[in-house]
Amino acid sequence: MNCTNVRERLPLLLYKDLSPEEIEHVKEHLTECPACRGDYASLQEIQGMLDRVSSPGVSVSASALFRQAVEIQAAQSRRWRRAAMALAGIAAVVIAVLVFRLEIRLGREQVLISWGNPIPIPDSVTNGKAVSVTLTQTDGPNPPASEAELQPMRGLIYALADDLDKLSREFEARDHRQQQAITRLQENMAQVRLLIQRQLTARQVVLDSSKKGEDQ
Amino acid sequence: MGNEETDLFPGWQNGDPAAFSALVRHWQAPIARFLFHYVGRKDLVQDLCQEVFLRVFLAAPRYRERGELSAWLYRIALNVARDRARRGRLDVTPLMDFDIASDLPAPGDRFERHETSQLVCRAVAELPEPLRLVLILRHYENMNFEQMARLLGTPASTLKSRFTAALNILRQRLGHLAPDNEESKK
Repeated sequence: MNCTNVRERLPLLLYKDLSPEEIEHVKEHLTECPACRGDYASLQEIQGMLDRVSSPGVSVSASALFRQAVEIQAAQSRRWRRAAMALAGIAAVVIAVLVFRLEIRLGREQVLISWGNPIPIPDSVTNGKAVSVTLTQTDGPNPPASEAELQPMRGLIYALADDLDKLSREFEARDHRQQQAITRLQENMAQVRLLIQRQLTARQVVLDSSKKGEDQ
Repeated sequence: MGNEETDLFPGWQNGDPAAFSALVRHWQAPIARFLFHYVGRKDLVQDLCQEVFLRVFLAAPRYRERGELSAWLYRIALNVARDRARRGRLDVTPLMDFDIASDLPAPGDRFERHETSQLVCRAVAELPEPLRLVLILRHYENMNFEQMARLLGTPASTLKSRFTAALNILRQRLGHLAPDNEESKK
């Protein structure tokens, strides 16, 4: 073995990781080569230095560890539950879209929800004060919101406003009538009270005069 | 794996707190030593150790007993240290207070040894990660190269080359600290 081969094996000799045969060859070389012997001695010094570094003592808290583990498992369980709910929601939407052909359109002034086979959307009708339909089963392609479609909604709103006005006027009239009735009742009660007082006074006069007659 | 560990095995794997506490007591010192030499910082060891055993506890039901508990634990410890390094929380350059071996003679020598110990730790911490890992496992954890090969998934011959390289680098960096160095030059 030459010096290069021996120097490659010196760390392994130091840590007893060579075969007996290799140990014999390396040791034989070391007895003859002062330079390799010096290298081996310096490696032994390094080994000693490494030995002299001691590691810090630690104390792992088992109770803290169990608490952390419980918290982590609870958080994982919450995450799984949320994920499952989100998946269920997505599945429901997919089923609704594919099976029931649900379609939702957001216009500037309306939300259109339709399902079923495609047919033309019937014109919404404002019949007197009837409510126009925006939630409908359609069989046709849904046209975008237009002035004609918005007309029934306007009619509905105007009709509702008229109804509110009428109701308001009726309530006012009823209030007025009730107020008048209360006033009349109060007047009648005052008249009755006056009449009773007069009768009592007359009776007292009669009693007083009869008492005077008896005394005489 | 010793008999004591084998006896504890079913208990800690099924979440028995007493068995798991015994496992922690048995392994916390070797794992702490490994982490300390790997990260080169004393202040991080307690925290890293706690994380290692937390992962062990959570992963216990998935562990299959094949007589490789120590390799499994060191692999978890290595992953924890590497994760922390990836998150950029390991700065091995500033050395903390290192303990030195307790057989210290005089105060003067103690100071010198403390200095030497710091320099040795710095030199180890500054080794390239693959070399540092092999050096720690061989010197401090007393693993042979076949065990290391199974743990790291690297051929034993490659690990031997790394170990030789690591020691030679340390010899170059720390050779001047050897007391006999001056004499050998003369």
